[in-house]
Amino acid sequence: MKEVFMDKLIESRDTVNRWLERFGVRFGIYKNGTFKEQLFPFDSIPRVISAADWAVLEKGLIQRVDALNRFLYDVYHDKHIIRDGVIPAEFVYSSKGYTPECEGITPPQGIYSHISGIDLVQAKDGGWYILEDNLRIPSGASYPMIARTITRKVSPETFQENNVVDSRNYCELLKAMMDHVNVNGGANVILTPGRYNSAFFEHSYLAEKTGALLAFPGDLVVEHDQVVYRDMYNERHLVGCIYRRVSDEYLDPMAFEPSSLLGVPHLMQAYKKGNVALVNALGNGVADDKGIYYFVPKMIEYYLHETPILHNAPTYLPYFPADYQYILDNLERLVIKDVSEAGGYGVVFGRDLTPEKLEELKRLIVEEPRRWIAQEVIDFKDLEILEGDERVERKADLRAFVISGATTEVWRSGLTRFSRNPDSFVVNSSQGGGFKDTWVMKE
Amino acid sequence: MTTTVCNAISATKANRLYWLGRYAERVYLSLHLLRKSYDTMIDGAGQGYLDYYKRLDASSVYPDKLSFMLGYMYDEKNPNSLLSGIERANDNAIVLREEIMSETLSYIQLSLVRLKEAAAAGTTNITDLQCITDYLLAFWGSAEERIYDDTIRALMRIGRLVENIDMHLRFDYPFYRVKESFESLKRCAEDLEGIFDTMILAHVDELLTEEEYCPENLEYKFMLLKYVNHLVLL
Repeated sequence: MKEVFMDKLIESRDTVNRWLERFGVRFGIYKNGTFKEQLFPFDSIPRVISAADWAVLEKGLIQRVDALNRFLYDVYHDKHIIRDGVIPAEFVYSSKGYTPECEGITPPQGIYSHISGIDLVQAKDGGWYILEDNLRIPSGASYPMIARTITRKVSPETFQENNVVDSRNYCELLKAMMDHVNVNGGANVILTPGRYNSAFFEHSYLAEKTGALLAFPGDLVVEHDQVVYRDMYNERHLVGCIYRRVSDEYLDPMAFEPSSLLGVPHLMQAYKKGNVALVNALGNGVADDKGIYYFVPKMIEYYLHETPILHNAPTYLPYFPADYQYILDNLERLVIKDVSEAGGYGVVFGRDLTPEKLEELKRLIVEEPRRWIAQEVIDFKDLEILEGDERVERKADLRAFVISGATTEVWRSGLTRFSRNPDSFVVNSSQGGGFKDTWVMKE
Repeated sequence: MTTTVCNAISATKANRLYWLGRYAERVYLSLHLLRKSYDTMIDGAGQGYLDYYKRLDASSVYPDKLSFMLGYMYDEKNPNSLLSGIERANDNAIVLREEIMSETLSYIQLSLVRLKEAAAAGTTNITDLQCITDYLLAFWGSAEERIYDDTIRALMRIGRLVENIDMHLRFDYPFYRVKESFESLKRCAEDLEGIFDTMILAHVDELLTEEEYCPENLEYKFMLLKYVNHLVLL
């Protein structure tokens, strides 16, 4: 890194944050039942990934997502992986994400997870570990994308003097993927639950940058098993692909949650007939279940006959007798995750619990072993952030975005989130964290 | 697959574009009128503000000049305050990013941020809010420069003109000022079919003549205001 030019970028943190504020780059949170929008603090010291490191990550991520897509097809069709005893049936069928309504449906082009958000951490030894796979509605790419656009303007010398891969092509990847799966040449649409969704900025920004229509609940209707967008003159416009930012259970009140006002009635019918592509496909929750995560390396071996390039964090399932005893004996030094929670919630570090709370957790694990996974605490490599004008080290993760269309590609950047709390491993924006740009170097 | 580039605008978005235009214009004109009111209050007993809120059918009654200034600038419960107006403009703009583009939206965001900062600082000197006027002018400039879809621009413009007529009527502006805006509005009606109630448009046309124009006559003024506010079918 050319230090002089890096300093200029780092000093521009407040300027970049003002630009982000100006463009309305916010996320929403609900606290005590009240919706509040807040800025997502940007830290100007980038995470830097060397070209050599990235090459390994890229290969490993493509391998992982390809295997997960194969798993999703298999689990909703022939179920070879269950029949062959690689994954116990109950892990699949008891998963909250398993969607019986998707049985036998093949999504357009056979792709289930078009946008995969894979969360990784780098350990102090430099090795990368996968923390979780997000295959339903992974969010966050828009923040580093707009931050890069701004930082290039604010500190052009920094980018001139450092060989950073230009990451501003995320929306081109997204649009190409949507065009690839679009079933009828109709409009590409981003379906948002509305302004009060935590990621609404992203929905609107991606619509602007991909040229897709941003549809709100009520804008889309299904007629003769085709999805159409109704305009102000009540004319119908055929829709060929929906990048939906609405969860499966709210997507079609006729098929899922009947009280949902966020979805499109009869959408499932159009989808079943192959008349619309849904990005990501319905039913993906079965593959990003925290319990299924344990089996992803086995999926890679099973479907691709390859050795996994990237490793899971060492994980134990109380479901397996050997792991069960290990977890109960070592609870105070493990991190325990409730498989039904997301967004950093339901994550408990054994070392933080009182003896009474530890006993209570043990009891819960004994009662419902399928509900929990336990992992070794990875000693994350801390990243430097600016706290005031001082550089301090904080825990950080990386969400890599993998786009599966005509080919599987990894976006050459990612969302680096960090904890602002020196004692916390939880980096989620909803819990007060900030974000950084992720630089992938050309050489 | 070659996909269709679809510029369709839903009824909800059309409504939001219209109201974005209205609120942006309301804040812009309110700043102008507050500056005038501020000037009036320099002289005499400083009661010039009483006239201001009477013209807006305002329910908020402020006991003195200072609370009037603070109330009309920052009182979020006062629907006629600058802050309420810019928040409503932002409520519409924030869900129209892909229609108006981030750059155009940014001027509404900037107005909101700066107005909140001024509110937090308790600024009552209206000249400190000149930047909001500048941002709003830049907002319209950006819309003209960056939005290529004629329907989107026309819907915002209709909102702006309706608000312009409404405010000018309330503050007894001379005939030619109101008429100019109305003529512009009629040209928009020719471009966008089905947006206006043609019967109401004809009524306004009849009432808005140099001979008829008499905003001091409250019955006339309120009838015209009612028609103008029911003109658009969104």
